[in-house]
Amino acid sequence: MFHLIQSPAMQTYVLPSICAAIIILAVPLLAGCFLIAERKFRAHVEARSNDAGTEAHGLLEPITEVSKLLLTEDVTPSRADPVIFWAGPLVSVVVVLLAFSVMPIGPAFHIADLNIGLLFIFGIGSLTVYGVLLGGWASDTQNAMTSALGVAAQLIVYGTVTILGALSALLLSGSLSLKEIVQAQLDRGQWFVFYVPVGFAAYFLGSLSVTTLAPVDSSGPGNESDTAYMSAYTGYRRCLYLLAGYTNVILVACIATTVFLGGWLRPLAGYRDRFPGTSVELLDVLPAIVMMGAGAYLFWRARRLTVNIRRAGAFSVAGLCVVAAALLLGVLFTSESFMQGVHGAFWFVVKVGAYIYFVFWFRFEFFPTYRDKVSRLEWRMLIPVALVNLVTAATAILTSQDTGWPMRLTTLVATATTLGVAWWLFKNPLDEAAAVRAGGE
Amino acid sequence: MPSQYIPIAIFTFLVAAFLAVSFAALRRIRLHLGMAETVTAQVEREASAADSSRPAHSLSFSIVAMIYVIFAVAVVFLFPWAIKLSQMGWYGMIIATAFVGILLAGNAWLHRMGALSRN
Repeated sequence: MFHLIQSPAMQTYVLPSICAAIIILAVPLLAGCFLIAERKFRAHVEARSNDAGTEAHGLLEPITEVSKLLLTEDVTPSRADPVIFWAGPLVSVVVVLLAFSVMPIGPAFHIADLNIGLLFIFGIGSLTVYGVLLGGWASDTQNAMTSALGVAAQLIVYGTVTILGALSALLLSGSLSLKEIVQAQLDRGQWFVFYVPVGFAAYFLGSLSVTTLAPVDSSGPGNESDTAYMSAYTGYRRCLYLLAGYTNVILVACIATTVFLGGWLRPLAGYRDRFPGTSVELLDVLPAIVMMGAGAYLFWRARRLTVNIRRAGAFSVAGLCVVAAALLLGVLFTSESFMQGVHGAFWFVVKVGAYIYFVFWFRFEFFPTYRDKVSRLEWRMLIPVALVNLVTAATAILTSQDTGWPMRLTTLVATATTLGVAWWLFKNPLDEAAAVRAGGE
Repeated sequence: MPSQYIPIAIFTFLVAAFLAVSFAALRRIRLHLGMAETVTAQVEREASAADSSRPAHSLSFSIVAMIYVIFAVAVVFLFPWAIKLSQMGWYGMIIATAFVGILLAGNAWLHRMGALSRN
C-alpha cells in the first residue's frame, strides 16, 4: 500500500488530481461559508441582528441566494461582444483558482511544488486585471467601462505594493518555492512577520485593496463603484465573478500565511521536546486541546440559548468540534508523515481563518475611503516605505550574517528606521508643494 | 515541459471541466424549468444611444498608466537580488540601494511635479 503511494506515477498524476478535485470542490463551498461569516461578523460589529425573518440562524440564506442567482436567465446585452463577454468572468475565476495549484496546505497536501512558486502566483494573479477589463469593455456600457478602468488601476497599483511587501520576506527565505519559504521560517527560528513587520503591513494593506473590498470599494458615485463592471452580467457568469472575488480573499490569506505567518508550522515549532518514552512531541497535542476548548465553549454557550433550533445547531457544532479533537488526537498514533500532514493542514487552516477574520475586522471598523485617496496613500506612503523597508531589511540581514549579531536585534533596528522614514514622509507630503503651486497660478 | 508542471496542467483541465459541467447542468435545470436558454437583451444605456462607451481617454490617463507600469517592472528586477541576497553580499546591496534610490528619487520628482495627483 505504502510503496504504491510512493511510486512516481502516483506522485505525478493521481495524488495531485485528488488534491485538485478537493480544492475545486471545496473553494465554492468555502465562499458560501465566507458569505455567512461575513454577514454574522458584520452584524456583530454593527451591534444588530441579521437573522430576523430567517430560518436556521440565517445559515440557509447563502444557499437561497446562490441558487436564485444561478437560475436567473443568462442575459447577453445585444451590443456586447459575445466572445469577450464570456471571457471576462472565465479569466477571473480560472486565474484565481490556478494560483491554488502551487499552494502547499500542509507538508503533504499540495498539487505542485514549483521552484518559482511565489513568482507563479504573482504572475498568474496579475492576470485578474484582464478579467475585470474584458468584462467592463465587452459590456459596452459607460458604467461598466469606467468602473473596470478604476478597478484595474487599483489592482495594478496595489499589486505592486503587495509584491514589494512579500519581497522583504524573500530576502530571508532565499527561495521562491513556497515549501522552502516555510522551511526557512523553521530554520530561522521565527515566522517572518516578526523579522519584517513593515513588509507584512505593506502586504496586508496592499492585499486589502487587491481584493477590492471595503474600506476601499464601492464608495465612489454609482458609475465608479467596484462592482459596476459586472453590472451587465446576470446568472451563472455573475456568479463566476463573485466566486472569483471571494476566492481571491482566501488566496490572499493563504499567501500571507505561507510567506509571513509560518505556513503549516505550529506555534513554537522549534520546541521539540517529546513525551518521555514515546515519539510524540509535547506540543502536538495542541490542536486537539484547541478543538476541545472550542467544543467546551460551544457546549457552555449552547445551554443558555433559548430557541430550540439554535440550541440544536450549537450542540451539533460542539459535537463536531469534539469529534475533530478526537481525530486530531488519534492521528498522533499513526505514522509520523501522516500526522505531520494532518496537523500541518490544521494549523494552516487556522491561520488562514485568523487572517480572514482580521481582514473582516479591519474592513468593518474603518469607513470606506474614496479610491483617489487610497491611490494617493499608496503613491505617497506605501511604495516609498516598502522600498526603504527592503533596503533596511537587507542591510540588517547582511549585518547579522557578517558580524554574528542576533537577527532579532538588527531587524528591530531596521524596522525602527523604516518607521522613522514613514513618519517623515507623513509629516512632509511632497505633493502638497505641487498643489500649492497649482493653486497659486 | 518539466514534470513538475504536469499537475498544474491536470488542475487546469479539472477547473475547465468543473466550469463546463456546472454550466451545462444549470442550463439543463433552467430548460427543465421552462426558462429561455440564453437571452439577448437591450440593456439600457446611461447616456444617449449615440455616444460610445469606449471613448478616447485623456492623455493624463496614459501618463499615470505608464508610471504604474514602470514601477511594476522595477519590482520584477528586485526579485533575483532578493533571492540571492546572501550570495551577492554587500556588492549586491550597494547596487540594489542605488537602484531603489533612483526609484525613490523618481517617485519624489513625480510628486513634486504633481503628476500623480488628480487635476
